[in-house]
Amino acid sequence: MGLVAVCGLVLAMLVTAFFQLSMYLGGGREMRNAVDAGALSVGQKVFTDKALKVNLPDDGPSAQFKDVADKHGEIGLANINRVWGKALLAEANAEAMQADGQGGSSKQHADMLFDAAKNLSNELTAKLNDENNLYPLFEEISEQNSMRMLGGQTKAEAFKNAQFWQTSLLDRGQETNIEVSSADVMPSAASYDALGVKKNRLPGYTPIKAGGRMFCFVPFVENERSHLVSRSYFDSNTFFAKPLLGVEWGNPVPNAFAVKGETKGHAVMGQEGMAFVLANPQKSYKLSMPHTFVHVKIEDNKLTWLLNSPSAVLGGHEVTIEKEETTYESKLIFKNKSGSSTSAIAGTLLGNGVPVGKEYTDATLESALFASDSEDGSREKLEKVLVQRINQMITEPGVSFTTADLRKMLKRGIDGDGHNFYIFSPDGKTVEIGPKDYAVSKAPWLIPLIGHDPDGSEKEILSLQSDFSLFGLVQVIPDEACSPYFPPFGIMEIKVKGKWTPGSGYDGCLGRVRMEHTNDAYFWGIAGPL
Amino acid sequence: MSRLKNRASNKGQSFIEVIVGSMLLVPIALFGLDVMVIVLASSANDTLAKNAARAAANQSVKVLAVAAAQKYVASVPKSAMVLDAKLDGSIDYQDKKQVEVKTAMKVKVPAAFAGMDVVELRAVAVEPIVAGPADI
Repeated sequence: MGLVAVCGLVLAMLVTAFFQLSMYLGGGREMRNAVDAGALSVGQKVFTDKALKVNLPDDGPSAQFKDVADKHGEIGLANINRVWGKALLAEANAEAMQADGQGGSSKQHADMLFDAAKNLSNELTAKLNDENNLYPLFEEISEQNSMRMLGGQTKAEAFKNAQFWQTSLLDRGQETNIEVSSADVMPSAASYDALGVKKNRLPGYTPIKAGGRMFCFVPFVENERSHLVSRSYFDSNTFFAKPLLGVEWGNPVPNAFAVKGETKGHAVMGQEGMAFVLANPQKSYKLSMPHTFVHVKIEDNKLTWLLNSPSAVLGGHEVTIEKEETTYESKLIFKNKSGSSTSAIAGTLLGNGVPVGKEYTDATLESALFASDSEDGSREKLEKVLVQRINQMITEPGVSFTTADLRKMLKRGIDGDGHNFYIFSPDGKTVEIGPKDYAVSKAPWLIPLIGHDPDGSEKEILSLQSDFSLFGLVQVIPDEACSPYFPPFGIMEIKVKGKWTPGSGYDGCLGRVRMEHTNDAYFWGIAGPL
Repeated sequence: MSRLKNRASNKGQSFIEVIVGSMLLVPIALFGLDVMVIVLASSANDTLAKNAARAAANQSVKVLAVAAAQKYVASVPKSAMVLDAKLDGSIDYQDKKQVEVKTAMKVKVPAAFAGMDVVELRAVAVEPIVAGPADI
């Protein structure tokens, strides 16, 4: 009986030991589940938690990034690439402007934007690398998971030791969440090639050069979610294990996080576990400078009546030139012009029904800008710079602006004050042009920006010239006993000049095109005594 | 004669000892077996809850999340021991935050004690929702 009792006791102890071991191992599994869930929680909430966002000031270069901030006006891991994208476009614009001899102060402004982007990026990196910011994100989920196999009151909490909460730079060379669907967004082919576009997106953790500065974006692979990764992949891609070369400031924003959990409140022995998560916001943007505009300025149309100009001696008489400058509206009009008599013109020189403003085929902005198709390609040149700048305003992925879109947009009539028009995108998808009141009503963000000038220097980009005869429209009415020396004649010279001042995008202005229309009406006619 | 008597009484004593011992050891052994089955089934149920919660967390709307969790749970093979596995009530889906899934598993123990031949195990798992773009 004693043997039976001993065997019974041993068996009971074995059963108890097995039970405890099973519970402990089961608790280990629960711990892994809780840690994995906590890691995924970090991978998701890292984009939305306020402690991991950077606030933008109200003024200074950093305030220029308010248009790429999130709905709370903050910069975080999901939209830091937009900040870098805007700075990159400014540098690319400035570089192209310098090459064209129109740099102005654009390079200085672009560098200010780069430095501001770097400061924002560094501040964000510091917050992401601070494990104290990640503990609550981990515990929010981990503590809710059951750990009953280790005790009814057991919870999985963060193991608070910075050594185990490292960050890493994964998916190097893979695409980011910044789309570049068309080369039209860049000011030159070379600047587009420098981007190294991959799957219509900027590459991540790959140095990109623009304006002599090195940019570095964070990769977020398309159609992927935040997910767990292996320890070996994580450890081999930390900044210290594999530094990013060629990035001048050496402080890239991480996209992967290590977490460690431990049990608290356990009955006997506790458990620990680690996991590694690669974050992905599943949100894409277009390489853009959202709150920007192009200014179209139509100067007063200048009309000059020139009677008997240039000066000449005709029939032994010194001809006095008469000149009168006025303006004309942007539509077809007819004017009568009378010339007063001089010693060389005993009579009245009259232009009868002279067509003025004939270059305006219709009262639209298209007429104001282009008048007619140019043979020297200058129309295409102006259209190209406008399309390129407009594409920088568009934020909606998959949407591009073409020359055909520009021509359609410019069919708008000339309204408002007739002189100042603004091209802008009210929603990041569509593009409009209109006078100031119209523009600010559609896009209130324009109000503080609309008065800003582009930071480049002006250069003529378009020059059109044509003339037509005023045959039959010029008369000389001689004084009594006088007669015209020769049949009067006239010619109308039309000149349309377009001047382009590019902008880097700093302070919102991507450029200004200034149009000058002149009509010079020449009349020749002299009368004298019979 | 007395040796014969001793042998007879020794055999009788051993037989009684075996009977009594068996009455003690066998239940303990069977109980241990039941415990082993319950612990393993509980662990399997925890895994079931976790995976169902993961499936639900990969959906961006509650309707799809419920369907995903149900589909996963329904795919668990039944056996002589695992009689049934199902979602325990509706899932708690908090849009853009987390999802909580409860599962219930009916397990038939090898050795029934006091009429307790089927044990219902419950597990709960909470996972963050990873479907859909970040809410920024």
